[in-house]
Amino acid sequence: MSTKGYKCPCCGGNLVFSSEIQKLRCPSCGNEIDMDTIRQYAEIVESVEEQKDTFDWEEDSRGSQGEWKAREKDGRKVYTCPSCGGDVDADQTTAATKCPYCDSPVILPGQVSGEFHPDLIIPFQLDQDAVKEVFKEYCKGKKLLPRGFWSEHNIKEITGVYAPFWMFSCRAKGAVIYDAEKIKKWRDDYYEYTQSDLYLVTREGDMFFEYVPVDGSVELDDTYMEAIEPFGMEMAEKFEEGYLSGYEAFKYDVPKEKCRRRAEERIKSSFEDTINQSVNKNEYQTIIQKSSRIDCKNGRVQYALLPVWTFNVKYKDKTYSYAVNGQTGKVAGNLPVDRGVFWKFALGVFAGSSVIIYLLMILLLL
Amino acid sequence: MKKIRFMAALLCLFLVNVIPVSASEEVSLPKVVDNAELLSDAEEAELTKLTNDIAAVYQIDVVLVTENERQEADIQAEADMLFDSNGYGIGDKKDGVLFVLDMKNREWAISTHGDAITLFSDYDLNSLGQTAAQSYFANGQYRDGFITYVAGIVHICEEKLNSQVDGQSAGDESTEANAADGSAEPNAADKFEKNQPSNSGTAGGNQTQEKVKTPSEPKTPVDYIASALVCGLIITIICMKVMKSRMKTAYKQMNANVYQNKDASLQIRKNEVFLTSSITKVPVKQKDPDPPRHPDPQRHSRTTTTVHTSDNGERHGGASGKF
Repeated sequence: MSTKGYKCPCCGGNLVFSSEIQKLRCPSCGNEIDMDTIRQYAEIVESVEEQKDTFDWEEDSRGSQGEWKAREKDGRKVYTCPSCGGDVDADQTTAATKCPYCDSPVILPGQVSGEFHPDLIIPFQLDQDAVKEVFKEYCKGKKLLPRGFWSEHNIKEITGVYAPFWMFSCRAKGAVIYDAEKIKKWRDDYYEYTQSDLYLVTREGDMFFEYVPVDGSVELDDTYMEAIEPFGMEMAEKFEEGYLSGYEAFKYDVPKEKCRRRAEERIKSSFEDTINQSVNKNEYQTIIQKSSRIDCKNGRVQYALLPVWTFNVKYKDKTYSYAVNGQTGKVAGNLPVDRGVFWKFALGVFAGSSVIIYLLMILLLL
Repeated sequence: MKKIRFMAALLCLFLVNVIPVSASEEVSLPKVVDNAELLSDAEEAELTKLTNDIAAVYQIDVVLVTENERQEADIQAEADMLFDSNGYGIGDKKDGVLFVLDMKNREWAISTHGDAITLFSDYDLNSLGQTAAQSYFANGQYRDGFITYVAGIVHICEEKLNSQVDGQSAGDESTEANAADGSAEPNAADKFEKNQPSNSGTAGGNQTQEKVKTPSEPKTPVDYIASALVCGLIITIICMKVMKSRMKTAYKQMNANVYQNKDASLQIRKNEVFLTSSITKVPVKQKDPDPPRHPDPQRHSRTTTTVHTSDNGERHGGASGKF
């Protein structure tokens, strides 16, 4: 008898080669596997497990550019309004804003040029009034919402912002392997038999992902930015500064290298979901994902400005923040719950459902 | 508490006779027939009053018969014949229990009819009859024997009423019959619950016999309130959680499914490698060809009632013995 460092596919025990049967045998569960099968098994498992996920993103030609020159005033950057000549305060990431004196739109070209020049932009499809309507609809039917929460007077600081996003596109190829078991039972007069057949199931896939967005701004909440997805890139345009006029805009301050991890997580999750759906679960009694590998080729990263409306609602000394997709009108945010209404509803549902169930029970009893 | 109620019921029967007796309205048959002249007039009157009170309160006809000569060869058949031919029993089902004491052969028998069949188990009847016969009749204490017997009847009736009032389950057995005609009536459950011990008894003689098991007590509407409240609470929790979750829409995306290009060709290659197979076998438990019908004989013996059919074609329960 000799040993080899193979693990039993059934129980994970060390397989021992049996010279009697010329097969590998598991001393723990007694399984016997021939050499060809275990070699094939090892090759598949090793090919998936030993290789790391790779994501190959092409380097763009975006070169670094010198800082946009601006006057320094009291330690802050100050820009000059081209309309009235007034001083416009802006932080490091502001790409467009409004002049506080003449309300003229101010675009800071240096913030959207060179390495900060966006590839794409989706122009705003909704204006302020449409956003208010969207929010009103969003609040409708929310029975736990405090009365008076929805009021135009409560909406503060409604702002249209072009948010910086990194858009990741790639071709995803990879494999997912599963341990699967088929069980067959039968019986005769004396015994009940259970046959357990173990399989190594492999699924290899090849698919494409386009424009997976990742928020490139520290200031904007990542959760809110993901919650208002998706953005329809069919309406994306090649970036022109003119789109920024009248809106605020930020340039990215989170590099794509940091954002790509999030994109890779989501792409891998989708890849596995798609592959999992291709497995017929009814064919096996148990099927457990063993491992997976994904290779992303032809990765392309683009910088885009996407339209987002942000606003706050002030209610009873509390401020609730919301974001609305400036293209689709999808709302993200957390509404307050009226405690009194909550308990009234709970009591009503409890009493109503209890009485109905009681009556049903009595009817069945009779 | 039960003892107090029992005593109160007894006291009530002895002292008060204010409830109209439906049995007496139905028939003017004597409840105490002392053909053997074992009781004085006063004792006879006392026993008659007691039986009338039981009939009024529990709607059970209680009949006491003493005789020196009997018409039937078998004492059980004699009791059945006396019950059937004299038209005893209350209500449509003729609910009643008749005790006959044969002084010539020093035998006794009890015959039950209607709901009384399932009200009194074999154990009850044997216990009542043997106690009265061995402890009293054998010593010539006929009045005391009958009083003890009647008190036993009241005790059992009271227990059934208590178990019904308390909503306690009287047993999980359901009515079944093993006789050829197998027509055990699901009768007494609506009036009284079987919860009394029974014995194998000597009922029936050579007549047809059936075994009647205790019917299970139906649940009352009150029993469902707690279940309805629990279900209502679960529904409320689910509803409120759903409603509350609708108030929050700020969440991270789990995947990038919407960005998967559905137009581009999606290729999935499938492969399945057979690794190993194992077979296990477990011995099949052989079924007992004749399993015991009642795994708890003690419990079974105390809850069953033997039913037989009299010469008149009536169904009776009963017990008999000597002293």
